[in-house]
Amino acid sequence: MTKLICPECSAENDSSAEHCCECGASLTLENLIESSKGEETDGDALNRVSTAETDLPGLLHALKQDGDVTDEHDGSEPSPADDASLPDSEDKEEDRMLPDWLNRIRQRASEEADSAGEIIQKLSAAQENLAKEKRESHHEDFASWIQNVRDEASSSPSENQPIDESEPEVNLKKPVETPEWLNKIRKISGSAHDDLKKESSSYDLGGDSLLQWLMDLEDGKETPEEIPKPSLDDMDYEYEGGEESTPSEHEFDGGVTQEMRIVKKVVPGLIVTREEQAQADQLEATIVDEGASRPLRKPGKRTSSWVMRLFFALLLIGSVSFALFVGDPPQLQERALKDQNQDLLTWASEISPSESLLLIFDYQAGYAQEIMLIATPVLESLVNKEIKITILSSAVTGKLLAQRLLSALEMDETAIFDDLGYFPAATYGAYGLANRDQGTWPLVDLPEPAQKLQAKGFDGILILSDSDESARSWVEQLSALTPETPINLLLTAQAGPLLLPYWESGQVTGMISGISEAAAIEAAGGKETSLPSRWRAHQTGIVMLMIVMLIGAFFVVERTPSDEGRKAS
Amino acid sequence: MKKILPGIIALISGILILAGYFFQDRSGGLLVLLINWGILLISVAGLVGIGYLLQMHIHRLFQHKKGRFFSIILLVSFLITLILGFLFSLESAFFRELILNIQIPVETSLLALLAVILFSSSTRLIKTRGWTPLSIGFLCSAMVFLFLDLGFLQTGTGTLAAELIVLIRRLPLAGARGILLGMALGGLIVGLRVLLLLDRPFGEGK
Repeated sequence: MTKLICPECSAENDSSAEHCCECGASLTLENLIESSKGEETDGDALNRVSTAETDLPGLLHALKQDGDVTDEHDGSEPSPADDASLPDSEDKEEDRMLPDWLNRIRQRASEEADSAGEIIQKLSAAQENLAKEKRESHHEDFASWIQNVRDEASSSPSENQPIDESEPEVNLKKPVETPEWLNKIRKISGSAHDDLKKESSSYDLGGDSLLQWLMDLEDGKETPEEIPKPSLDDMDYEYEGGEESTPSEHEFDGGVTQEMRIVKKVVPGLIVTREEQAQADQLEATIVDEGASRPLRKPGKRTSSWVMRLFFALLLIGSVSFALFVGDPPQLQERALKDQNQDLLTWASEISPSESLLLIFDYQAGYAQEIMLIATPVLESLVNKEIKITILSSAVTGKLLAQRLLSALEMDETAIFDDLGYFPAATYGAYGLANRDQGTWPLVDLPEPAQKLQAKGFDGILILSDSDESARSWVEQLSALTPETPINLLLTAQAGPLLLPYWESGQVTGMISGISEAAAIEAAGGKETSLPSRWRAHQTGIVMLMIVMLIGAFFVVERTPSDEGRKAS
Repeated sequence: MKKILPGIIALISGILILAGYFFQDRSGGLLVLLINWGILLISVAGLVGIGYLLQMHIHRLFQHKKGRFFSIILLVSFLITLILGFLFSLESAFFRELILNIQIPVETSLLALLAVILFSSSTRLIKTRGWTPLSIGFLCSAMVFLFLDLGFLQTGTGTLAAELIVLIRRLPLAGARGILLGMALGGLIVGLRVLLLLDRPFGEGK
C-alpha cells in the first residue's frame, strides 16, 4: 500500500488523498516535486555525466565532477586549480535556506527506508545506480589510461618520488607493462613527451597532473602543441612489421576541440613484378653509374688522331697520283680471259655491218669514267663496222653521257646513230615494256622512246649499267619483248657479280665488269690506251688501303672486350 | 576518317594490283589506269619536292640562318641550269659539257668519299670491338679479296688453284645474294602488312 508523506507535518496519508489528514496541507504533485528539489544536486551531476558520453569536453566536465566527488569522499585536499569546495559550501548555505520541514523530511528519509514515496524511491535508486555505473566505468577507463600515462611520465628515477607521493589510491596500481603504442608515440615525438613531463612536474598536483592539464586545455589555459607526423621510415617500418595500422600512428590535429584522434592509416599494398623490379634495379644501376668517377681522356689524343688521319690521307693521295702521272704506262700482263668476257668479244666480232644494235645507257655520271674504260674497246670495234646503232637512255643524264662517250670513240663519220631519248624504266617497272605488244596488260600510254622501240628490229642489245637492279629490269623486259635478240652487258665492278647468274642461265650472251676485266681484255688486244696507267693507280690505291687497314688494326686498337671487362670489374 | 580513308584506298589499290597478276585478262585496263595515275602522282610529287626545296632555301636566305651561303649556291645553280635548259637543247655540246663537267667530278668525289668512309668504318669496327672472331674474320676476308682484285695472282686455266680462286670469289656473291633475298622477303612482309592495314606508312601512326 503506497502512502504519501505530508511535507508540512510528515504525517502519513493515503495515496489518493489530496490534502493532509493532520494539517490539511496540499499533497499535489507540484508540492512533492518542489519538496524534493534539494536532492537534485546529485541527479544533475549524473545527467551531466550521461550526456557527456559523446564528446571529450563534456567528459572532462564529468571527470571534474567525479574528481570533486572523489575528493569529497576521500577527504583529500582540494586542488587550487579547481573549485571542488564550492558544492560543499553551497550545500551548507542551502541547508540554512531550507525550511525546517524539509530538513525533517530529509532526516526521516535518511532514517526510514520507506519515508519517501515508492516512485521517488525508485527514481532515486535508479539515478544512483546509473551514476554509480557511469562513475565506475569512467574511473576504470580514464583512470587506467591516466595511470599509464602518469607512470610513463614518472618512469624516470628523478621524478618518480614526488609523483608517487601525490597519487591517489586509484592510481596506486602499477601497470604491468608499457603499451606499445605509447612507446611509438614517444619515438615519433620526443618533444611532446618532454613537454608532458615538464608540465607534469611544473603543476605537480598530486597525481592529477595530466587530468589537470586536460582540464586546462579545455579551459583555454593551455594550447595544444602539434606532434610531428611520423616519418616515412617509421611508416615503412610499420609496413614491414605486417601491421597496417597501429596505435602509434596517432595524429593530433591541433584544432580547437582538443580531441585526440586515433587514425588508422591503411598503407596500400605495393605489388612489384619481377620485370618491374629488374627495371628498377637497372635504373638504380644507371643512376649509380652516372655518378661514378671516370678516367679523364687525354687531351692530346684527338690531336694525334687528326694528325694520323691527315698523314694517311696525304700518303694515299700522293701514292695514287704518283702511280697515275709519273712514269711510262706499264705493260699489262697478259692473262686468260673469263668465259663471259670471251663470249661478249665473240659476239662483237661476229656482228655484221648491216645489222642494227640497241645501246642502252643506264649509269650515273659518277661511273662515267669506269664505264668509258670498259666500253671503249668494245664500242670502237662495233661502230667501225658501219652498223646502225639506236640509243636509249634510262638514266637522267644518260643522253648526255651517251653523246660524251660516243664522241670520245675513234670512229668513222659513216656511223649511224638513232637516239630514242629517255625512258624511265624504273618508274614503269616490270611489264612496262615487255607487254607492250603481245601482253594482256599493255601500257597504252608508254613514252615515245618505248613506243618507237622495235621488237624485232635489232640484231643485238648492249646494256651499259652501273646498277644490278636496273640492269636486271632491262634484261627481264627485253628478254620478254625480244626473246631471240642476244643481250650483252658492260657493267661496273659492283654490279657484275650480282648479274653473273644471268650469263650462267643463258639470258645474257656475254658481259664485262670492272676495270680488272677491261685491263685483261686490253692486254689481250694489245692496243695502247690510257687504261694501263689507271690500272696501276687502281692497284696502288688498293695496296695502300690494305697497308693502312693493317696498321690501324694492329697499332691503333686501344682496347679489347677483355680489357673493358677488366676495367668495369 | 582521316586515318581510315588512306588505309582503305591503299587496301583496295593493293588488292586490285595483286589480283591483276592473276587475272590479267579481266583487270588489265584497270591496272593500266592505276599505273598511269601512279606515274602522274610521282611526277607531281617531284615538282612539289622541287618547290619545297626552293622554298626552304629561300626562307633560310631571307631569315639569315646558318648555312645561307650554300643556299645561295644552290639557288644560283638551279636558276642557271633551268635557264640554260630552256635556251639550249640536249644536243648542244656547250650545254652537255657544262653539265657533265660539273656533275661527273661531283659524283665521282662522292663515290671516292664513300670508299674512304667504308674503309674508315672498317678500321673503326676493329678499333671499337677489339680482337673478336667477327673483327678478325672481317679483316682477313677484306685482305684476301682486295688481294685477289689486284690481279697479281695468276693461275693456269682448269687447274685446281683456278677453281679454288673462283670458289673464293663467289663467297661475297653468296653473301650479297643472301642480303638481297632478305630484302625481298622483307619487302613482301611489308607489302602484306600494308595490305592488312597493320602498317600505315602513308598515315599518322598505327
